[in-house]
Amino acid sequence: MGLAENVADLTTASQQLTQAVNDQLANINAAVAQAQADVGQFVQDGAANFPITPNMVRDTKKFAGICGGALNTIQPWNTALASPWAGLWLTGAIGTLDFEVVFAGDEVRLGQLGLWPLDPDLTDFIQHLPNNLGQQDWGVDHHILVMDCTVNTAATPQPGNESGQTQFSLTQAPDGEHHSWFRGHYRTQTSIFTNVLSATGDLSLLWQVNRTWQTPLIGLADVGLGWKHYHGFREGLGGLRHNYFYSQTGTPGHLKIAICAPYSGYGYHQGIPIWTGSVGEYDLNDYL
Amino acid sequence: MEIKRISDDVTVGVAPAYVALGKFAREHGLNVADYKTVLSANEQKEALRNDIFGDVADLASLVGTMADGVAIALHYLSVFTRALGTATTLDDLKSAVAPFATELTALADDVDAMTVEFPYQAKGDLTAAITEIKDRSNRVAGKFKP
Repeated sequence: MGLAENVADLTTASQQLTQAVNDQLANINAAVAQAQADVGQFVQDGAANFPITPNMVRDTKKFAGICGGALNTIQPWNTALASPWAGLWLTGAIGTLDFEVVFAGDEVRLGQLGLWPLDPDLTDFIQHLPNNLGQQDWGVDHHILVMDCTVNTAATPQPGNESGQTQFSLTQAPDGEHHSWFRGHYRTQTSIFTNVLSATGDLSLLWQVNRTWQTPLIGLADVGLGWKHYHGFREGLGGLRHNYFYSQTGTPGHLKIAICAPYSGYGYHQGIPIWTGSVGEYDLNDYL
Repeated sequence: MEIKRISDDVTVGVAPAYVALGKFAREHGLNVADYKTVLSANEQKEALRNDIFGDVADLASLVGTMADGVAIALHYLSVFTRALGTATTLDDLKSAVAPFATELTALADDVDAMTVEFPYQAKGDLTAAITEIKDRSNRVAGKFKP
């Protein structure tokens, strides 16, 4: 066989090899894509199967400690808040904060407030099912908390609120160390459904500022978006269970916001909406 | 409880009574010396009860003391009632209740001298206690009626 023929054979073989590789690439890519999907599904399955630890925030189903357990009744902060809730205007801040608790299946009242339907994120989680007797309320037991805050005079910069940004702290006490503050490599989660009804000036809600994952500022940018599921994780546990009405610029503002099913606990469920009740400060106390 | 700013007596916060003001204030950058707490009526009542349980006796012991008082009164009444049925003279009655006379006489003297004070006397007056007895008796009795 001459050189030219050898080269031709080599070229042909090379082309065949290239074609074979190209043919396999499609299979390989498909296999990789399938593997990616399988891994993603495994993670989601794991997140869905992962046990839900008790809620580190109390009274998050009924908000029974707010407005004395009464529904559809607007009350100012100083009469509305009772154990386990506490509230505090930071130094210099002057304003109003009203609360209202509404049953999550109360289509009429929620409609009046602009909170019905529970779309897009909350509908899938809070299913209001009529039972076979034609009655409502089967399977839905949650309440929605509406908070209407107006800051007329912003807080004065003080130690602990150096920029005067925190206006009102809605919190649950006591607070304490788990084992330390934000040490450890385990993950803790915060999740909450929110619906911003109105906002002006510079006032936002920061949920779970220091215990588990802190939400981003929830405020003006969320107006008109309906119900939104905020969720995230961080490592370790902090010490405070404060939730702030917060002004980035330390100036007055207004925020009317509804929340539902807030949760803080161990592990991160990859954004799968979860909720469970509290068993007290199990994360702080060591019972006999 | 209310959290009040001492300088102008303005309420700036509310919290459950078990919250320690010092820690709560520090967490928010406040000088605890500038603030005070005011307990609600229910919180004051709970605080008083906790003080009693912690300093005087626990609830079971207090119930035991109350049971002894009721038993002594009932025993005295039963002896006196029995004597009324058989006595022909005043001396017969005195003789029947003689086992109780010394202690109960001393108790009455101690109350008059204010060396012994019953809680109902410290809380208010006889009228208030009687009124509460009447009210709660009626409400409990009402539960037994169809």
